Amino acid sequence: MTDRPMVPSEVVLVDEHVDPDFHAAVLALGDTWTAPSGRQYRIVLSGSVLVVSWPSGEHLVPVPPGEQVDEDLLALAQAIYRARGGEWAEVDLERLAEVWSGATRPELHDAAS
Amino acid sequence: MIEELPAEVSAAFPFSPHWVDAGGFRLHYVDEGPSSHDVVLLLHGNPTWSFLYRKIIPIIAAEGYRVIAPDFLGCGRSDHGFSEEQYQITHHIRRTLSLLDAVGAERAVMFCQDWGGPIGMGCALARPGLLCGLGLGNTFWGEGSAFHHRVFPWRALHGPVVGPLFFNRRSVFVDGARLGMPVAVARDPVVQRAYRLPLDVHGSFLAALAWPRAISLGPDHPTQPLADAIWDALVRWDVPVRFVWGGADPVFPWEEQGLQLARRLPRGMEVEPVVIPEGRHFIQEFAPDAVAAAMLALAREGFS
Repeated sequence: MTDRPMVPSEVVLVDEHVDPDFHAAVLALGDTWTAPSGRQYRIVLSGSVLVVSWPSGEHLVPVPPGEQVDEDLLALAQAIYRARGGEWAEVDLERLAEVWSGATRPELHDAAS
Repeated sequence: MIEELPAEVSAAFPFSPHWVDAGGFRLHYVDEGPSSHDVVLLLHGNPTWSFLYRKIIPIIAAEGYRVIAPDFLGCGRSDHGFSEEQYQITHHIRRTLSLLDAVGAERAVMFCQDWGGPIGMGCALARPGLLCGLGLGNTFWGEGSAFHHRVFPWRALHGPVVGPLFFNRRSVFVDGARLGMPVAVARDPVVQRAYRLPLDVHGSFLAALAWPRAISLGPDHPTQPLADAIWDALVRWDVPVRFVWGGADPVFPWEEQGLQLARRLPRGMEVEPVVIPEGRHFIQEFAPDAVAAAMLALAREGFS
C-alpha cells in the first residue's frame, strides 16, 4: 500500500479543439505514447477532441507529481509539433514558455530575483 | 462566479458587484454612476476582466455618466463555461446584449480593447441604434494580425496539448500578460493576484484558451463571417470615434490595425489619435486618464 493518492480518473488532459491541420500528426503517434520519462499515455483523437489518459490497468499506479506530468505533456506537445513538421518542428516549447515568462523584458524582474 | 474578492483585490477594485443571468450563466458587471439608458460601456479582452478599468470607471462616473463594465464568461468574477464551444464570439456577443437589455441600455459609447473590439462591434452590428460613439485601443475586428499568423511566439502557444497545458496547468499565458503592462503594474502583487483570480479560483481558464483559437487566420475560419460583417459595417458607423493606442504593442501595431480602422470609419480621422509610444497591449494600464478623457468626450458628443 502507499499513502500517496491514487489516480481518480484515467483522463490526464482534454484538448477540445485540435485544428484539423494537426490530426495527421496526432494520429501518427499511435494509440499509446511513451514519454521520455518512461510513463505511457493513451491518446485518442475523436473528431477535434483529443483525450490523453492513463492506459487501462494503470489506475492503481500512484499519481505522479503534477510537475512530472506537465513535463510529459510538454514532451507530447513537442512530439506532435515535430510530427506536424515544417515551421512547427522547430518550436522549442521550453523556450516559448520562457519568452512568455517575461524573459524578453528583463526589466520586469526584480534585480534581487 | 466569485462572490467575494480577496481583501487586497477588493481594496483596489471598490465597486459593488452586479449580476445578470445570461444564457444560463451568471455574469458579473460593474454598474457605477447615475441610472440612465445611456451607458459608457467598457469592454475588456484576453485574459483580463473589468479590473482593467478600475482607474477609469470612477473618473467617468464622477462626470455624471453611467458606466457598465462586464466580465465576459469565464473571466473575472463571472461563471465559467465547461466547453470551448460556449466561448464562441457570437455567444459572447449574445450574452453581452442580454446584459445590455437587463440594465436597460438603449444607447452606448463603448471602449473596446483586444477581444472587446469584435464583441463590442458585434453588439453594434446586432443592435442598430445602440452605438453612439466608438473608443478603440489595441484591438481588431476578428481577423488575425501579422503577429497572430506567426507560429513563434503565438500559434505554438495554443496548439494541441500545449494550449491546455500553458493556459491552464502552467498558467504561462495569464502570467505572460504582464508583458503587455507597465513595469510597476506588472510587478504589483495585487494586480498579479487580480488577473490570476479566475485561474486560481476555478483551476482552469478555458476562456483564455478559446479566444486565441477564435482569431480568424483565413476565409474558412468560423470567426471570419463576423470579421467580414464588422469590416463591412465600419463604413456605415457615422459616430464620433477616439483612439487611445499603445504604440509598442507587437500584437496590434498602430499602423497595421489602428490606422486601418481609423481610415475605414467615416469619422475615424476626425480627431488626432492618442498613440502612447511606450504603451503596450493593455493600454488601460498605461494611460487610464487618456482613456477616460476619450470616453467622456465621446459621451458628450454621442449622447447630445
